[in-house]
Amino acid sequence: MNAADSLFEDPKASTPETPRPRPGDRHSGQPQAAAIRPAVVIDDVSMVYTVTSTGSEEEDQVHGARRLARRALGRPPIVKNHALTGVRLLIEQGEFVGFIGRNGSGKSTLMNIVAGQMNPTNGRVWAVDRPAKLGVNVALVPALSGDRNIRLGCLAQGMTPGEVDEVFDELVEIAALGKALYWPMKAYSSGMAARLRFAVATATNPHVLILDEALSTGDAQFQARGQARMQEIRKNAGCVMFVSHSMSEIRNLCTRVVWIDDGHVVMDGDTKDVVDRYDKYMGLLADGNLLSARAFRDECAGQYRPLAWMGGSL
Amino acid sequence: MSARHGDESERTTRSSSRGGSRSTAQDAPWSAGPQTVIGDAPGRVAFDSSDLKPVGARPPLLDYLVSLWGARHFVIYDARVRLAVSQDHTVLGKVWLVLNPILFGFTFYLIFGLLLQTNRGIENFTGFIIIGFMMFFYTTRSFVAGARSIANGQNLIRGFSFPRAALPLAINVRQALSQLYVLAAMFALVLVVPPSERVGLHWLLVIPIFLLQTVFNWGLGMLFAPLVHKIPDVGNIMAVVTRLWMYSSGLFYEPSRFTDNATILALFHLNPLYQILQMTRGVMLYDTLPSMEQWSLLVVWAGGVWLLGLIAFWRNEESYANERR
Repeated sequence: MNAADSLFEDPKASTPETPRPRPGDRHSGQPQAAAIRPAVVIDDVSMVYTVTSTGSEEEDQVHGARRLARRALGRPPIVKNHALTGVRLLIEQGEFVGFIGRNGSGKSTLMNIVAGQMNPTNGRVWAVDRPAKLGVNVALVPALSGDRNIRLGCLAQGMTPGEVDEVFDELVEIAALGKALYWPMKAYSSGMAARLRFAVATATNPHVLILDEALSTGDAQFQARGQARMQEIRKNAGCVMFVSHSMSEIRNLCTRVVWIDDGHVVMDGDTKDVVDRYDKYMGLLADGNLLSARAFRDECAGQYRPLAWMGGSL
Repeated sequence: MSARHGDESERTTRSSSRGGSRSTAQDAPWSAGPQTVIGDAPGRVAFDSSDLKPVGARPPLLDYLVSLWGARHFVIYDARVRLAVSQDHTVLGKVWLVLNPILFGFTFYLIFGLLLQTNRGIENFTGFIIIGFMMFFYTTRSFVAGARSIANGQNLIRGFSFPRAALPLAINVRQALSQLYVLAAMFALVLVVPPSERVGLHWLLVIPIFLLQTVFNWGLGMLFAPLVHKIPDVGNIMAVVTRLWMYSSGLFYEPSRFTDNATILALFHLNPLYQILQMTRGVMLYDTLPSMEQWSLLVVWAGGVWLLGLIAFWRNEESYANERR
């Protein structure tokens, strides 16, 4: 493997020539005849933000005429922020995938891209269905009351008024807002808004549900309801992508965990395995052992094998 | 089977060289067949890619129109409830929907009809100016709101997937609904304020004028929404443009009284808003029916701007999800 430091430097770096069979590889030796059924395919997704930066000496600057023009106008220079680099993942129907990583590691960017709320600078996402995403920022139309927001949200997802009438009572029950249902949404607490948004997002029984720390503002009752609803979606040949900083939630819910750091996938695999290592990494960081934490992360990343499309049929 | 793709699929020796260009539906990496193999032997697995659709991709124009039709319930509900709550923060509430246009028109009667008693040689100058302002500001209101529809709809855009053209359409439906109150006030004022006009069956011609104006506004909103989204500075220029437009549409004067220059008069004549004002005034004040030439000019403007706006909006469909930072 390359030197630990250079591991994340160049996304286009050449890959090791010889694939190493890994211990615990259940399928080694025989090609799989049975086709797996993907729900989401994330194909080589990269995202580069350009942001203004006031302290941009050692950052990746945008050069050329644009920089000169901004200087002339007295505006701060813009720098590139590589939020995601070459992410390739395949998520199967029925999977419950957790995404973990530090703040700013690119998890939410990836969720936004999968949900189609943002376009990657490179690559594309494929899915069986329009993914429904539920984020932390859940306000719909603040001036409208809760029941009107439910109706508007359902119609925005392409339901007809008749279909909305059918599921409306059920959604009201899921949201469990009581009399607050008829208040304008700007009067809602963040947890109440999350309840309403969750009810709307799951109204169409989406095949792909993305939860970006959506349950974190809810109370225990709502979290239990939310988890039950997610299991239901999973049973209906769907998949759930779940971002959380609560490792106990991840351990309890997820069948597979992806660890993202600095825009790269570090690990992808069994929940216990990945979460244990992530815990160790965070422990090292918390103790201030930055160098050994980095070395440990790069060691984990060195064992990760990204997907490659071969094309054609078996 | 429980696939852990990090485990199962081994890195291929064929290094990826598909950087740069964005993959489209046509060149999916697995486009060779309905089944695709991922990973190198021996850990390779096959997957069924036939159900997969690109996320956030722009559909063909006709499919786009069909999906916009599918969003009609959303459009109408959005326009209706937002109009209904638009005055909820006031004491009088919905009364303002009617009161606003009446007070608006009444000020012109006060200034021009009672105070100045000027008519600049125009018959029924008060009616002339009431119609001018009420019809003109319908377009500027819709234009400004439509052009900002993407920014104002960010919550919905981030929350749900629907054809984004539903947003400028919903705003135009809402503006059209509120314009109905304005039109009612306009009719009432023209009938009541001296010199009062007599109502006739030909007043019904205001309806097609209003509809054509609505289509024109809608197209204008779709044309400028992607521009304002890309370059926010355009929003500041729009105020200048609408003011310039106001003075060149003959709101409170008849251009032929100020100039004989044929070029300038022709420019006035080609201005769709000038024509809308003239046609409405002709019908309501002077009992003259719009000429065939006026109708066709308005139809060409409305249809042309609508088509241009639709194409411009549709071409930028994928960009509306991008956050501005």
